[in-house]
This record gives sequence, C-alpha cells and structure tokens, in this order.
Amino acid sequence: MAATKIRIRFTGVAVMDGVNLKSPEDWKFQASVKRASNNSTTALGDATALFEFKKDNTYNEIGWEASFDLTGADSQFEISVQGTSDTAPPKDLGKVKATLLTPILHNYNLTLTSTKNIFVAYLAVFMTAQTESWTEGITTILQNPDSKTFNTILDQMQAQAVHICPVIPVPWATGIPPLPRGVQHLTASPQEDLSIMPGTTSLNALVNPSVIPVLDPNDKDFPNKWARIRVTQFWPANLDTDKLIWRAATSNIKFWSGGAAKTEVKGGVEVAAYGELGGDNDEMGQITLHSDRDGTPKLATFRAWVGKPKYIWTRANIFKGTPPPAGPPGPDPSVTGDQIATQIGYNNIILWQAGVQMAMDTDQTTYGGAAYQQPGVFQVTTDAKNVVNVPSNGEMLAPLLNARVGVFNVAYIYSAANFPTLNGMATDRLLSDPEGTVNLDGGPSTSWLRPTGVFPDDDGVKITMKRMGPSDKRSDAPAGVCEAGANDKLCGCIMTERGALAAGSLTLAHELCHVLGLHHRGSGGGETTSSYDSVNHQAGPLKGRGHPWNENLLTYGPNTRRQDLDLIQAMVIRSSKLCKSDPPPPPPPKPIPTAYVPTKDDKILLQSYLVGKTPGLKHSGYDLGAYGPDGDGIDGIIGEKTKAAIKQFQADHGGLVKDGIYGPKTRAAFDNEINGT
Amino acid sequence: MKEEQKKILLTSKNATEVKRAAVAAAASDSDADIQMLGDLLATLEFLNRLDSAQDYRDTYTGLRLAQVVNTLADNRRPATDKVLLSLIDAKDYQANFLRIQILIHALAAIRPSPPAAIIYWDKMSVGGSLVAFDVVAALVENESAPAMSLFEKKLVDPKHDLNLKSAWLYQLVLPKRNDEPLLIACEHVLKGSAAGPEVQIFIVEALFDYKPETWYRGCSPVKPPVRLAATREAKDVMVSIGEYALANLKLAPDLKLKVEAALKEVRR
Repeated sequence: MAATKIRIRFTGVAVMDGVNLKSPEDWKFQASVKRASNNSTTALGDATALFEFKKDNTYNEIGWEASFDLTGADSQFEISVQGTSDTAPPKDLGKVKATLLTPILHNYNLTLTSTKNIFVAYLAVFMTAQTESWTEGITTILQNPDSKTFNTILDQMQAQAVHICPVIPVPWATGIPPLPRGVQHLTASPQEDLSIMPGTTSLNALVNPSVIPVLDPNDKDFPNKWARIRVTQFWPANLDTDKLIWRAATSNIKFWSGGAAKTEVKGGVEVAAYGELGGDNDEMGQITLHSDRDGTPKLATFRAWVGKPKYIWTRANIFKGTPPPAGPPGPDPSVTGDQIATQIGYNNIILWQAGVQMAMDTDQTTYGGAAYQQPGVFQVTTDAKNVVNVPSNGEMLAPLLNARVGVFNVAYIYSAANFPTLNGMATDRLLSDPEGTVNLDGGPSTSWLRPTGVFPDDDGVKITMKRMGPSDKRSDAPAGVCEAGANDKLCGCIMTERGALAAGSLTLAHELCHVLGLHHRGSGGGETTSSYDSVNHQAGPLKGRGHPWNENLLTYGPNTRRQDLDLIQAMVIRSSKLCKSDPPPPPPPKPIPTAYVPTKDDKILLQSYLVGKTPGLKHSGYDLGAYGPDGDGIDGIIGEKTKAAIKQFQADHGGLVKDGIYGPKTRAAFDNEINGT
Repeated sequence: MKEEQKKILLTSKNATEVKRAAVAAAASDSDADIQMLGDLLATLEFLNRLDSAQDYRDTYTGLRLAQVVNTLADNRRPATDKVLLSLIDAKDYQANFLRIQILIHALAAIRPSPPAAIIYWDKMSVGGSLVAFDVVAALVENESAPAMSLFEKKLVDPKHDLNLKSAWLYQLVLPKRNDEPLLIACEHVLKGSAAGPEVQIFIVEALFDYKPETWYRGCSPVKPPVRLAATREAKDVMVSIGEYALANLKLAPDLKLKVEAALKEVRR
C-alpha cells in the first residue's frame, strides 16, 4: 500500500520554548512544496497573512494545504517554510525543510524547529489514495540539518491492526527509544498501563505471558493462574472488538469461556487460555486472532510456550549480627517472615510469565545454629560483618549460612558496602546448569523481538542469547554452616533490607533469574552499547526489531517497568535444574501437645493443698466433702466438690478457663503459686 | 539567613521543609549560618526532625541528613570544615551507625586531611569494624598524603581479614588505578615488608587485571579506567610496580601475562 495521492498540510506554528519576545510580534510565513519530477513549486496559503505571537509557546493554527497525484516519475517532495517577522527591520525567523522520498507508505506528523531556533512548524502528510499491494519499508524523510526534528508515523494504512504485547514501551532517559517498526503507539486507542501494582496478588496479573500453563480447570485457583491473552492496542479506534475471533491454532491450547473449554472464542479483547500436554516437555503453542469481516486477513498470531507449572523451592534466612569486636555496632535487618511471603507473592507474578513460581521450602533442617521460624524462613545469627556493610566479593559468606542444596537460598542482610543503594545480588548458581548460547527461531512471538500482530506478520528472526556462566566453585565453608557439598551446588542470592522492604520491588525475581542463568538485558542503563545477553535491538540483523530492554526484568538502572520475560528467557529459566516439577511437600504436622494427665498421687497432693492440709496456697480450706480414708475429702478422685474447688482456683487466677479440669495450665498455675513464682 | 528559614530550622516538624532550609544553610556563604547549622546537627532533637525512625531503616544514602552533610562537604570553606570536624565529637550525632557512615565519607572532601579526621578514620577502622570499608573508601577518595599514609597502614594491618582487603582493592582501588597517589601507596605496601603475599597479589591483580565475573556479585561491577589515560608520572609508577611484581612475586601465569601486557601498553 503505497500512496498514489497525498495531501500536505502546514498545520501551525508555535514560538519555541524559551524565546523571549519583548512585545507581541506579527509573523508571516512563506510555505511551499517543491516537486522534483517536474521541478515545480507549489505555494501553500497566503504568504502575506500575519499571525500574532506574544510569548513563547504561543501557537497559531495555519492550515494551508495542497494535494498531489503521484506518478511513477515522482521521487521526492521538498516542503519548506520560511518565517519572517513583520517588524522594522524584518527579522529572519529561520526556515524549516523536510524532504519526502517516495514511496510514501504512511501518514506522518512532522514537527520541525526553525534554523534560528525561534519557531516550531507542524506539518502533516496524508495518504489520500494508495495502491492495493503492500510495500515493505517506511518512507525516507530527509530533514534540514540545522534544525531538530521529531517525526512520528501518524497512523498506518492497514484497515485494522492489533498489538498483543506484554508491556508498554518506556521512554529512555535520553529520549524516545528506537522502537521496532510497527510498535509505535497506535494513537487511535490508548495504550494500557500494564505494569503490576504493589499489593497485587493474582498470579496472572500480567497479560500475554511467555508460557501458557498446563492447568486443571478444577483447580480452585484456576482463574488466578490461566494465561490472559489480551489485545493491548488496536487501530482504528472504532474497531468492533465484539467481532474479534480468537482461535487456538495448536491443539495444546484451550480457552476457558462460559465455564467450558473451547478452541474458539468470539468477541472481546481478552481471552483466558490454558495448556494441555501429552507429556512433560514444553511445546510451542499459537493463538490466532481474526476479524469476522469477509476477506479480512488474520490480525495477529500470539506465540507462547505451553508448559507445566514449575517450582523453585525457596529458603529464606534472616540475619542478625553479633556485635562487632570494634567500632560502632551495626543495625540488624528488620525483615519478617510475613514480609518475605508478601515479596515472594508479588515477585511470583513476574515469574508466572514463565510458568514458574517460588514456593517456600518445607524442610526444617538447620545448620550452624540457625533457628527455624516458619516454613522456609529461618533466623541466622552470625558475625555482624556478614550482615552490615558487606563487601560484594565473590566469596560472600552470607548465602552459604544455613544453605540447603537444591533450593534457592535467599540471605536477608542489612546492607552492602560500596553500593549502599543495592537491593540484591545474585551470588551462586548451579555449576551443573549449562552456559553458552541458546537459540530460538522466530516466528510471531510474544516478545518485543517480534511483537505479535505487527504487520506484516511474517517469520521472525532467529534470536541468539548468551546464557550466564556458572559461579566459580566456592572455597570450603566453615564446618557445619550449610548442607554438606553446598560449596559447589549452591543456588542463592542476597537481598538487602532496603530491597526486601521496598514496595513493588522486583529485585528478588531479577536475582533469581540470574541464578537460573539469565544475563542482564541491555547494558545497565546505557542505551548505546551492546546488551550483556547479546540480544541487541540496535545492531546487526536485529536492528529495529529488538526488545526495548527497559521493559525487561533483567535490565537494571533507572527504569520503571522492568517486568517482561520473553520467550527465550522463559526457555532458559525453565531448563534450570533448580526448577522442579512439584511443589515442596507439605510441612510435617505440628506435634500435638500431650495433655497433662494427673496421676492419683498428683490428685491426692492437689486435694491436700486445696483443703489446706499441705500449706502453700494463698487461698485454701476448700470443702471437698467427707470423702477419703480420713474423711477430709482427700480421696484421689476429682469429683464434683474437687471440680468446684478447682473452678474457684481458676477464677482467682486470670487467664485460666473455668472448666474445673486439672490440665497443664492449671497445674502450672498451682506450681507457680506454691513455689512463689 | 532569613528569619523564616531560621524559624524552620529551629522549630519545623516538616522534614522536607527542614531539609531544604538545612541544605540552603549548608550551601551558604555565611559562616554564621553554617555554624548555626553545625550546632543543630549536634542535637538529637534536630536530627530527629530531619529523619524519622522509619527513614533510618534505609541506608545512609537515603537519609535527608546525607544531603545536608554532603552539601556542607561540597561547600569548601573553613567554616564548613570546622562543622564537619566538630561532628566527630558530637555525642548525639555519633550515636547512630548511618550518621557515622555519612560523616566518614563527607570528611574526604577536606584536603589535605587534618589530623582530627585521620585520627577519627583510624579509630573507626580498627580491625573488625563494620565501617572499615567506608573509611578506606574515604581515604581512596581523598588521596592526600596523610590519607594515603593511613591507607597503607590499613592495608598491612593483620587485624583486617583478607577478604575485606581484597574488597578494598577490587572495588575501591581498581576504578582509580590510574591515580598516582594511590599507585605510590600501593607501591609502598607492595615493596614493604609488612604486607603478606596474599595482599601483594591482590594489589597486582587490582592494578593490572580485571575479572568482574569472579570479583564482584551484584549488578553493577566497577570498571577500571583506560590505562593509557594515566599521566606519565602514574605510568612510571605502574612500570615500577609491574617490574617489581614480575621479578619478585609468584604470579599465576594469566596474571603474569596481564602485567606484561599492561607494561607493554604503558611503555608505548
């Protein structure tokens, strides 16, 4: 679809930010379009018309237009606007110029600043007629070199377009990222903010995951786990979403709609999907999206792994430091088991994109004097140097203390030296996990590497990603601090107090992904160098097609929505030996406290105290009747009279249940009173 | 200082407002304003209005106090030096770990380091101290002769464990390994008799090698400067250290190659 007719519009002018007009000025503009094919120049509007500008940012609508029928001979159109002030003497306000090279394939908004940096001109190019056939590429726009410009594709000429993307693009600190072709904001529909909010608890809070989990619809948590596949943007604005048709293009995917499993769902921008697999291995699955209009091509293909949920058994150690031998005492982390559980729940939303979740390990074995607190949570008391201001050396001891082989060990310390703002550090990964590179053939993908629904929906590119190497084998740990052999089989990370308590912190998932083999995506906030994991959207054959790394969980630096895990990352995560097929076994049942059963001698002694025969109780002299060999009520049997006396004793002692039963608590209260404690 | 600002400093319970007024006083060119701020920084009442107990659950860089003290450090005047040094003996100020960290780093701005700062740093970085890393970071930042002298002392102090010393070298010295004062201090330690063989190797590694994957955990490994950007004088010290290491130390083959390559580079 290349333009056969265009309309060029000089939309308006604004005074540039910071231009100081000492008094209102009248400006005039000479606008024209020069056509190269016949060397003709078409004037736009009235060059003598005056527009009043008072101060910076003043905007005047101009609205001058001209239309052109394109022929095969047309190669370029040069649009220029010269500004002049109507003052004495006239002041040159500068010029803007843009040159369009054919073919013209999109509508454009062009925003250009004048060569004198005094005004901003707004131009637009509309395709008013176009060919039927598709032409790959975008129009070349040459801009006048002396002025800054910012151009956008106004909209696209495809009848309908949808995006199914995991997150929205985040602007770089240095400006607008070079988005892959087709991922530009479709201005006709608002782009949803898909970031997860602190406090969210549903595992499937993020849409369009990289793994569609294999689930049983009878699972009571099914609605919180199914994959939410959602159109995240569409065009045109009046797209009738009730007429969308979702189809499971592979047999391993089902939709859940109206309380039943389906392979096709009509209407709506979102569908609930889950997987069905014959075996245990992950498979690729596809969902296609169509319109029910006759002759309309497929709108999008969504691609994801179909796989069974996997579990990372997780053990958390909260550190307390013993006082240092010298210098000021340091603080201890104040993290609690409940806070850890909350953080893990939140971070699991991220991991669920890969069909993985952390689950608290239920093993209660401790090492090096650690104390069990609750399932998966322990307290470790150690030298304060392992807790406060810890240098981030390769031999950090904290992850080793009370560590267990085969699980993800998280050490909660107070702070790290050198990087006091650090939230966490991945310290150890399995030596037996693979390293090197992994490849994934493209095709439509949930990933931004080839965003689903970006037309033309052709084959994607082959992606190669560098996998993180294993940690070095650790030196021998002090005896007894961890499970035997943990030195070379350890998986773990450190979280600082700051990272552990920060609302909305995804550091735990980030560090876990390092442990599972993922490198950083991007280059640490610098957008100009290669990505650490080699998935680079700026160089080589991936140019213009890569993942804007600011949205990826494995980026780092001052980014705001680092939450996405793409297909190839999910593949690596799920292949780690740390990912288990089963959740941890249930914790051993709590031992039932043995009820105190008084012996006959106990009962005789009790009665002796109650009647006052044996001194010791503050209040005694209870009437237990005339039972027993001495007729003083002491018979070793707790009958009604003795029960009434016990009830009175219980009433005199707060906190006891007045049930007349001589149980462990009442016995303890007796002992305390008799012993004067 | 305007009356309104003074009133805020003395009475306001709005922490942000107090911080803004304190930062303005810290950046002031009025010695009286700076001294008034100094007096306030010594009182618990003021410190508690600046940062709450909840704020103190962050690291020291997250405290409002850090911005105030750092502004004082950036405002190079005798009056600000006097205030910073007075905090060394301010009992209430010194009663908190994070405040101590802030001061340790801020004192690095005073060059050359006065005896009071050196004594304080020395006391704070005795073997086993949790802030020894901060002190060495301040010394490396300061680079004045007294600071370098204390740095050498710390590097050979057997009461500091080797793991910590390697952290000083890999994390603090490596990014400044083109700096002549640091190189000279390292040369003294390397050629002196007090450093053990492990510390000698750490020094050579930090100055000539770079193994981010092994040396650092966490997402932000430090990076060395471009060696060729060093001054001629610094390069001469590098050569001296490298030649000494090749001739006298038992270097692993890959480290030996790194030293040789670096020497070739700087001799060009």
